[in-house]
Amino acid sequence: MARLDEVCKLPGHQGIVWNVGWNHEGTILISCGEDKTVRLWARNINSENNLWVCHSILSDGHQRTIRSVSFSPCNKLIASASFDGTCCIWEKKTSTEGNQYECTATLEGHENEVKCVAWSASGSFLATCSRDKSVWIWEVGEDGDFECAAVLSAHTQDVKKVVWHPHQDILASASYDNTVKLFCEEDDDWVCFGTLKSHDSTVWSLAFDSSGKNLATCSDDRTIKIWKEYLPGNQFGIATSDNTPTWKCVCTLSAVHPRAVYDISWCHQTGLIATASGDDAIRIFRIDPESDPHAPTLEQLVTVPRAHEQDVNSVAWNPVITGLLASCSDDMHLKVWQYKG
Amino acid sequence: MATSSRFSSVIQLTDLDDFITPSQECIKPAKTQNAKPITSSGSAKIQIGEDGTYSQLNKEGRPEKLQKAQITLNDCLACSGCITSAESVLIGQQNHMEFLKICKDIELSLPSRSFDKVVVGLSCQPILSFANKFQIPPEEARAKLSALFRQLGAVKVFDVESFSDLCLVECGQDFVHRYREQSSNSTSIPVLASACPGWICYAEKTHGNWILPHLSEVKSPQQIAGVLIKDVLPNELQTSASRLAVVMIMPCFDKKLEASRSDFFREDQQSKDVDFVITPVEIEQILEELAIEFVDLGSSQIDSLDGTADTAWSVPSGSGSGGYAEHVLRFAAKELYGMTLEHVKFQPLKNSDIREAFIEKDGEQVLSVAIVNGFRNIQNLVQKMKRKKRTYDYVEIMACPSGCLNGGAQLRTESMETKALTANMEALHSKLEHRQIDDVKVNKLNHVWLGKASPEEHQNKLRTSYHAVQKSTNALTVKW
Ligand code: SF4
Repeated sequence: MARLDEVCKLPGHQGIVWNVGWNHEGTILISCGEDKTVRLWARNINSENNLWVCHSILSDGHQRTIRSVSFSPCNKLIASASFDGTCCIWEKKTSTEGNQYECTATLEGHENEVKCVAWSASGSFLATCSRDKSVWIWEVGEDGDFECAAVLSAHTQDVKKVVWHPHQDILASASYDNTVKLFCEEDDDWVCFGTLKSHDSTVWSLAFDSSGKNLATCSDDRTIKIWKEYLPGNQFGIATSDNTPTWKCVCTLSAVHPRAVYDISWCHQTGLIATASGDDAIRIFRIDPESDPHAPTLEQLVTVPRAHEQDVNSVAWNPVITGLLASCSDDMHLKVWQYKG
Repeated sequence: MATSSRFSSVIQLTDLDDFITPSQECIKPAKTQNAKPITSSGSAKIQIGEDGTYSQLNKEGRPEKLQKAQITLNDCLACSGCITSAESVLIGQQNHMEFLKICKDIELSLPSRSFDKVVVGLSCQPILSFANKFQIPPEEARAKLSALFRQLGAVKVFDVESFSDLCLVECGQDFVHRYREQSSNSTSIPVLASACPGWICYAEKTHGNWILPHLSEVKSPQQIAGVLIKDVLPNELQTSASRLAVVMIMPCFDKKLEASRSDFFREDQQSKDVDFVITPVEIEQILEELAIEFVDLGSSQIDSLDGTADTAWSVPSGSGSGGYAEHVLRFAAKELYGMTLEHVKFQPLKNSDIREAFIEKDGEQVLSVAIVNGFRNIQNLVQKMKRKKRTYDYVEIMACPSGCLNGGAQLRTESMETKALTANMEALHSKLEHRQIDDVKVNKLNHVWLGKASPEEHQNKLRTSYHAVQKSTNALTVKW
């Protein structure tokens, strides 16, 4: 039987913890929340039981709740997005006293709450989204300057999440307007080249698989969906237009989550899918390897019913350490889990 | 990504908050026409009838029906609660149907009519939009549009560009004045053009006090035209300013916002400087309404301001938005450094919507101007200014990508992508006759119009001011 074992429970945040993530080497766990701080956690190598401990607190960057954090691919920069309408860039400065993070830039422009921030795989772009319904793409300049490269008003409502394709400069965004939009660069501007419609309510989050050819989405409608990319001229008879790929919903999983599904993480090593839900539970799925890739079925492997005491807001697979999962909740705690298959 | 809005995207972004719909939660207090002050202590009782009307119980306990609150566009603009309703409020306030009705009323000499005469100003971008859509020469499109409005009853049809020179001359002088002042006034440079209401609305709502001193206070050609027409023409047309409807044909709905600013309402005449702004998409609807095909329209001349027969059409040299940056550079080069510029070339930077030009003296850059179009480039400029980085001396800022040629209410053809469309529009614009400001003409016009005006009056006619909108932060509107 597959299991998800709790490795440790991490107190510290003084309020709701909204988002968790990892650096790209999988050595640092990062979190942020209502207490306007970003916290960095690392494994305490001295302790026998391999616990994770908080080693840095980034504060004084934001005036309101921090909703989202993201490590740059080079691991030197952290971006945090806040309800104060700004996004802070924190840079690692190494001194005799160890590593320190300093807020070196503040990205302003959104009209109100910034909901999410994400670095592109190439490191050249940063994306933010907001309650003002827009998605912004920022270009990272050589001199550490961030220039606005596009303001995309494709969504008709609050945009909840932005996620980059794992290999290309393609951005996916999820919104309160029940859709997911895909963006790419064309000439000197960014354009929306796809709208994924199928959810009946807010799409809270989304995740690409390791190939970037499949996308998982989760929603307030209590379902999760898998979408597959079909290239122009594909042999499966899926129509495309304007020479751009079509993303088709190939799987809908309903009647599993009794409440809204707030986050979804697709492990790029194992292919496991983890969900964070409003019923306080964490669930692990995988695509049944026996199923038809054009109509896959999801197999539920594990449910941890009371993973947290309240809503689970975010889950993230460690990019390096196999089966290690982080989660965070309204209950002010983070947890680290180990999956055993 | 097709948006159906006729506004610039900047307006769409600013404070649009669909969580508060105006009908439900508009925070503007309801003003009632015959609101009686409640003198007795205790609170008023309000009943909601089955038909949804509101009644207030009077002292005897009998209900009196309350007036429905009328929220004008100006209320919306001055309020930071929401502006979602702006488009619908606007359409109610000055749509083309209302314009048609006014034309009809005048034609029938109805006693209840609100205007006696109609004067139209045609801006070049809508003309080019029709020329492009119907594949006809711009001159022909211009003559057809003129014919349409004359058919509707316009007594005069002008080119808005014939008023541009007054605006441009003022822009040049304002800039030079501020340039000379820069050592003693830290907010005098850069000067940011203020002809685009989309940009002005954004600056007032989002950035407010720190940026407003940088805005050029010169009115746009649309508003200068309105003032001049209402000053000069009523006499000739034997009517009064308030009975003369000034109608401007413009490329975006944002220009309607501009026309409805309270700054452009004249108390003394109880009239707006510009009464109607009609856009190409609405002209199409008018044609449809009247069952007229555009191509079937006849042709008619354009009136000249000085009454001469010289009606050769030309537009100010420079961008399709009105050539502000180019004129300011030329004028300042001459005025400040005695240099006459033959050719002004704007160099694109990261994208074609940010272009700069500068002049050097003794190997040193002494003047720099830029054309900044579209929201992302505005953003970068504003953020640079905020971080106190050096930018330019003068910036022509336009909210629409590619500027006014690509205004939100220009005609789109389904088969043509925006890029190809703007390329076509730019090509059409570049082929028009481009003129440089003719000082003699401007002086003559100024003399006729402002001859005896005091400097203050002069200032009033040509300049305006801006007002920051206070942001309301309502904790209840937080959405995760
Ligand atoms: S750029 Fe021109 S068309 Fe666009 S909003 Fe401004 S004034 Fe209107």
